[in-house]
Amino acid sequence: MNLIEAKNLSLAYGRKTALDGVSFNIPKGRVVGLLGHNGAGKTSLMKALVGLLPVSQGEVSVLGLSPMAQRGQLLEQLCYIPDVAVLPRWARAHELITLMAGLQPRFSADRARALLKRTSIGLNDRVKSLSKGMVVQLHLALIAAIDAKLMILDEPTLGLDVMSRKGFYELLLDEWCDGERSVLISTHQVEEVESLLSDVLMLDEGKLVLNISLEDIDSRFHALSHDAAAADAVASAHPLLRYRQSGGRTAAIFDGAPPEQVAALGERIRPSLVDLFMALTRKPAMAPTQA
Amino acid sequence: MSSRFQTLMLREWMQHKRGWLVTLLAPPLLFLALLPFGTVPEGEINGMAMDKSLAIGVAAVIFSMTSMFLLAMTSALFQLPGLARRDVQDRSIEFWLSLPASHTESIATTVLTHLLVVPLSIGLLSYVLGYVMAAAAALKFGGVTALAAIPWGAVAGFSLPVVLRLSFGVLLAMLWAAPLVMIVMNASAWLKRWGIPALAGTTVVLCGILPKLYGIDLFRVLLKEQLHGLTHAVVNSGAGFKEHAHELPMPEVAQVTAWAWSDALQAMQALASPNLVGGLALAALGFYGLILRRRRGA
Repeated sequence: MNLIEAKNLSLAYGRKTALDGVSFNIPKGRVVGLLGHNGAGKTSLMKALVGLLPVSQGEVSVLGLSPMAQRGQLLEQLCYIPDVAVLPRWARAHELITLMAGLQPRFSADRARALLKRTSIGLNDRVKSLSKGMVVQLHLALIAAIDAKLMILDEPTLGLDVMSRKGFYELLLDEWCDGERSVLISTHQVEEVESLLSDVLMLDEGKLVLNISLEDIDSRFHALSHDAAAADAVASAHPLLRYRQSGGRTAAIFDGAPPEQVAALGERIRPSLVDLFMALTRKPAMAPTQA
Repeated sequence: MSSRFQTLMLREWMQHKRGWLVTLLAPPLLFLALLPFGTVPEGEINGMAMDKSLAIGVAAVIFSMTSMFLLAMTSALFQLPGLARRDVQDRSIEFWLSLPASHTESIATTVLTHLLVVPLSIGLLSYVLGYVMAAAAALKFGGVTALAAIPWGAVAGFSLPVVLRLSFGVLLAMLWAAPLVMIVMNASAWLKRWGIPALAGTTVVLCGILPKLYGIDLFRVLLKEQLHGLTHAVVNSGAGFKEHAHELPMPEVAQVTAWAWSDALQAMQALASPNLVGGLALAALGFYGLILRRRRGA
């Protein structure tokens, strides 16, 4: 059974379309990255999935429930971090554990305390006295203590320094990802999450432009590293993106295998998620790396 | 009471306990601190010739309860606009919305806790503290002899019916106050910092300018009726009690109890009013407005 099933999902703020006919499924045991530029519709999609925004068209089912109609029931069964630094600043860590225990039936206070021991956060620490990174770690410790099958994280590491981001992902991998549970995580830090992900969803102006597992990326997309002398010939094959690599060479990404005569002009390399992201979501006017 | 509702009330306690404890404890502590330097007035209470020791006891407990209740209520009313925007202002709304508590539960808990549970609790705890203040005042007034002379059973007998009447009155008063409370909260929730100035301006226009310039008196009359219902819900009439009290050398417990009972009945009868029904309908609409605002807060 899929944990999330979205079919032809559309969502609009007045006349502005935030999501346009988005369809995808997320089965159990997957770590799915939701990538997209600012305003691509990532947060709107996540809010629609947890019943905080109504969809204007299409069908969505999360854990077999309708997010809008069964919001309370749904929130009892999933973990959701909406944004960084949203924990109430007046609260102490132990107070938040008490509140979560009373509001979230699947929450384990003991597990939350055990998770907090992995961090430098004390039970008596007030949120307002913690750094941004510590607040995010506290939030993750709280929601990772919920016995759920699905975690939805909306840019959980936005604005954090590299150490805090590393700590966050370590905690997430070690304490939550067990092959049975699924995570949907939206982020701008594409390079950092690449090693974490099993699948990728890419949104561009409300449209889902890519829905693929990381294993399938290698077989579907071809990146060709070539010399400058072959640039014109490669360009004539209409790659998705051409960009400069370190060392002065140029690379091009193709959706599918390029023509044999073009492939012979260079050497096939693995396209990174960042390059693929650029290839699928860039606008012609914003292509500084284009060769 | 559901565990979720209790937890949401616990959240209010965690967030506001410092302010509530200061409201509860500061006045009696101040009273006790200043007592050695002050004087206790001798004589009568409200013209009633009562035994001096008994008078001190009754006055202290009732004054403590009513004044503290009024203080707590005033403090809650001043906090109302802030409560409507509290979670949005500190950005924690996203956190609360990520938890399985409904909008109705969250808003209802906040309103009930701040406007009913806390003022009533502070009032009742102050009633108990009133006994401490009465004992201290008696000590100051006449030493250990005066303290020993206070008939504590009689003090409780006189004051309890009054305290129960006032507490019940607070419940009824909340029904009358509900539309006003919801209007204030909605103004603040939807118009943010402009909410209260806009509401004040609208009130002046509707209740001050319209009657004078155009003779449209409807809003002023409605507001007046609502406030009349509110105040009379707490004490509908003390007249009957006072008349009988003057006839006797000192009122009897049964008389106080009878007054409290009949006054409460009159306040309940006053509930059968189109103003109250209309006000409650408006309050329900206002409550829905707060739910809508909270949803949009996502």
